[in-house]
Amino acid sequence: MLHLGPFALVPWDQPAQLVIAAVVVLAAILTARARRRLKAVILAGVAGYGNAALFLLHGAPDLALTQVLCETLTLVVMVLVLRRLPPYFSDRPLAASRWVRLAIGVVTGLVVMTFVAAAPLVRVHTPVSVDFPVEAETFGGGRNIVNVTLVDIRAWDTVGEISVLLVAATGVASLVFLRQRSGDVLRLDRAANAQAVASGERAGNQPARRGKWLLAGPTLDPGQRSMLFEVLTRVIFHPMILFALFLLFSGHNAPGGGFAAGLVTGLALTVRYLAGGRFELGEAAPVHPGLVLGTGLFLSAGVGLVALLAGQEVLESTILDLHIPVLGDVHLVTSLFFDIGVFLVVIGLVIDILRSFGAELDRQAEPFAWSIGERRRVEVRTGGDRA
Amino acid sequence: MIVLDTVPSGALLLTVGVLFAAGVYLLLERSLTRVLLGFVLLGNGANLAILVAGGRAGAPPITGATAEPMSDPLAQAMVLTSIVITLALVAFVLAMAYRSWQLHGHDEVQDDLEDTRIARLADADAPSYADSDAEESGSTLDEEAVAVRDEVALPDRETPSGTTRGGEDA
Amino acid sequence: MTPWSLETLVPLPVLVPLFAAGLALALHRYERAQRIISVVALSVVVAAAAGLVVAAQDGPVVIDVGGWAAPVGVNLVADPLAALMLLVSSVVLLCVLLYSMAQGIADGNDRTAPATRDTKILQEAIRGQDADADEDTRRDVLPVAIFHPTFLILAAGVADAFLAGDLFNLYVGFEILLAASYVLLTLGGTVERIRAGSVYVVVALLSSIVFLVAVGLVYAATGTVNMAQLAERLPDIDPGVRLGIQGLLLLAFGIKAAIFPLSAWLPDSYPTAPAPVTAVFAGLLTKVGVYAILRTQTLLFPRNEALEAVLLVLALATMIVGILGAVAQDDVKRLLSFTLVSHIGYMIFGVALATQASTAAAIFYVVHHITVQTALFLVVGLIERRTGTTSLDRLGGLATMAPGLAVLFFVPAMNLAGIPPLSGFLGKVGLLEAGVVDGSGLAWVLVVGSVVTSLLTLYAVVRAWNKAFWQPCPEKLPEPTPLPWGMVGPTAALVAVSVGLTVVAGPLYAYADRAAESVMDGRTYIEAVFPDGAPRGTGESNKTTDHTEEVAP
Repeated sequence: MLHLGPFALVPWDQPAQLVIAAVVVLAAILTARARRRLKAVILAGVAGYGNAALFLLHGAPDLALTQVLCETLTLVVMVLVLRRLPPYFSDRPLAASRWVRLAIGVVTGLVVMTFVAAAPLVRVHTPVSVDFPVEAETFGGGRNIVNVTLVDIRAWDTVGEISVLLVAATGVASLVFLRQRSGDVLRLDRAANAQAVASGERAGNQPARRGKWLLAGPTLDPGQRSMLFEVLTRVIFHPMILFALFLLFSGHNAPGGGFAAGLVTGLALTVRYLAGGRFELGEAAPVHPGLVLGTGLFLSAGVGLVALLAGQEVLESTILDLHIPVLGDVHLVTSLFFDIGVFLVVIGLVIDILRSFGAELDRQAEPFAWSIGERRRVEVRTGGDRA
Repeated sequence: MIVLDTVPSGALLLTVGVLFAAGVYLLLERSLTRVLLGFVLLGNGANLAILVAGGRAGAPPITGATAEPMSDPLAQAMVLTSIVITLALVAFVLAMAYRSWQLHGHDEVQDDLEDTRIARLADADAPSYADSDAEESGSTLDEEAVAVRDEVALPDRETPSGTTRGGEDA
Repeated sequence: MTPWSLETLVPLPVLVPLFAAGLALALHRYERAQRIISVVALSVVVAAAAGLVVAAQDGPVVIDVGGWAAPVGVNLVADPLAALMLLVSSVVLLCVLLYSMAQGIADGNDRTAPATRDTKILQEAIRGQDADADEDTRRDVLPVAIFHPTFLILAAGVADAFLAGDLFNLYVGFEILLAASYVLLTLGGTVERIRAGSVYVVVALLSSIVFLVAVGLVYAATGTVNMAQLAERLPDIDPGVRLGIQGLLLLAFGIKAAIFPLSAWLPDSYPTAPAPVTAVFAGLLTKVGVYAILRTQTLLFPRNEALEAVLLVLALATMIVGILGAVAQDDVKRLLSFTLVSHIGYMIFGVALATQASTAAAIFYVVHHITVQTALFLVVGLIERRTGTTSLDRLGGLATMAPGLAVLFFVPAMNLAGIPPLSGFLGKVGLLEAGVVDGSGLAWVLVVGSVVTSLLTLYAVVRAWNKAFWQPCPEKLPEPTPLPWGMVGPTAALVAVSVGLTVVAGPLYAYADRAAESVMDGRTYIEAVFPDGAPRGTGESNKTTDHTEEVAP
């Protein structure tokens, strides 16, 4: 242990921590220096994945899992939007103030570092979390303490958190769609009509052409299709959904839970969208995200209200040990329903993000296409394809 | 059994410091994409800071998995909440950056028009400090406003707002 | 607990709006259903808040969410301060909701408007060429289905911030209301709103990060985030670190409350939103920041004279800088935004003096200011609806054209300026008295500054009144559009509430005094959370606070 004046610190918890910390530090510095959007985004992603590794080393597998999933989703979404933005950041007019900003940044970093170094050393009380292991198992009915904390001990925070997700998702849709919030889900029959109009036929009851591997594969420009990607997507989509369900139901006792499960499902949908385009997304998730989001919050907040009406404290969970003939003994904690609500809200967020940043941006870009500096009208009309 | 040793790890402290420095540096930019990346880095830094606040590394907080002391589950729960909130806000700011690009052809935060107008009046020694009860025709103000708007808000009138237009005229 | 005990009321102001928001979003195709859900939900919140105000008289009403004993789980505390804030804010939110439904934020129905007109409107809105385009045009481009769920979640966030008995939960409450406010501020995505929204969002994100780091540091230093337990533990830790944490929290909340020099973002961003959104932001959101300052600085931290002196200076600067900005404005919305900043200074003045009398005056002032400021912004929305502008250079003659509107503006404007015997006057007198009792040089400077600010406020609103209502109109205003009763009604109701505060000033002031007593002396709060001085509940956590041996090496 090192002693620096009033401070005490250990150089690292494990040697691997130092290596990963160095990667994160380097990635953060390079992010700040990058002038190319894509490069900056990827570097920030590296820092994020590094953080996940630090979480894992610290003994936080749930955090690491969630961080990896969130970081992946963030990366995909950012790249989807960056397709539309210019590749380089403009230099005007802040170049001159760069040193001032750098100085402010460095000072802030040093101040925060000092605080974070000093605060843990002045602790003289036992943290409340010493009781969590016993409480979580006795009253929460689960062995994964972090998950029990999220869906039971501090479920109130989680309700708030999913309402932030819901609001952000609707906000994204409102800014990208502007006024077509009630827009329909893009199903294959719409694509068929659109193609019919594009090729000069009369719109009507065109039978939708279904792809061999992905339902909406044929709606893509042949030049943009990748058979390998489509096959791969076909192969991994269902296992991913199964994995998500496994995470959802095992989360109480092992790493996982509603957030991670929702994010895995979201990533599975993302893969479908990337491989098969926006109609594939509509086929994979043929529901309006508003419905998914709303139902999720309705369920989670409803669990709280039901407990209240039943004479318990709000959001109080009950452990049910049921004996079901075929399945045998089932150990069920009612906070699972709460976690399902969380799961739904996360999926709703991802669908909303994909259909805004993915599908709607595709649609907006189609009638016009631009290269840098000039815009060229492309003679493709998408006819009935209005969201 | 929870790890009670709170002596922080130097490697984590350094990471927190650098994430904050880089994050603040980016946050002071005008481009919303860079502001957003700054926010992402700051969020990561804050999450690490909370992890450090919970104490030193330990075993995963799953009862029965190991007999070693576990790392603090409460700090982890707080970090998890914060990761998810950050994800949601990142998505929203990204939508704002995209919308800003759609409107202006770039994603930079604009100055306030009214401030700019008052500053211009002051520069031109115009009667912004004179009592504004004095007669001042509305049309002048309008012209001013239009001029300011041209300069600040719309460098290129034919900027890609056409994307949405294109979608609509189908 | 039994199903219908008073404790049942505590989580309702948060849970009911969230439940309703989920329902409203799931039913996004049925606008009528959405309206009914929102109005019912917020009415339930008003009723619950009223119940809590009565219940909290006999001491804080506390619940442990999920039945988890206090320091382990999250608890909600409805003490007199929280209950009072909750009641005022829920009444204001309900009025604003009714107003916005009549104004038609929610009725930009894209299914009925012809496509060609749609396209044209959309293009105009996107280019934002005509910022003063008539309200109808702008209204059409507002998205339909998301207003109600977002507004309900905003209400839930505000309620959660007031009720939180846990510092991390306070952070979550702030995030809820901020996320909702981002969406409401950028509704429709016009040029002005995106510009204003960008500034607002970046500033708010920064303050949230500061808050989050502060919560982390609090946990590092004390091993808990429960507020009652923090009130017990914070006095024991190293004063240097404690001061640092206190400063960080003050910084985070100062940005939200718009205290000078952290106030520059406010007049820049609020006025661009739709009128009811501006009204609720101006009335409520800054006050949540003030509330958080009051709660954390008095309950959690021991008194610190140096920090109080700094706060007094900041309060003075907030008042003076804000009101000088207001005097220079030509637009009613901006003028009111600057007076808003300025009057935050009064509340901080009361908080910084840190006596029971000054805190009571500050609480009374917060209640007064929430209603008056919201009412004024709603009236300005009516003026804008009627005339198509809020610029003082283009308004005129409204007193003869719309006498009713004139009354609706005049009463809260005079109340804001502090004309006797209205509630604004009473609040200011309370603050001045507390300043005089304090008697220090700095307090006297603040007393003089308050009087000057009050006079300048009077000048600013009288000037606005003269130009908009009294003097002849400089140009021909467009044909008057009739004001829907749905807009006038809630505005009048809120003006009536603000006048009503004067009528019930006696009991209200007494209640504020009790609220001040309970925050100044944290014992009632702590005892309510941990009866008999020990952590309560069924859990094993009882032993938590018993052993306080040194754990840091």
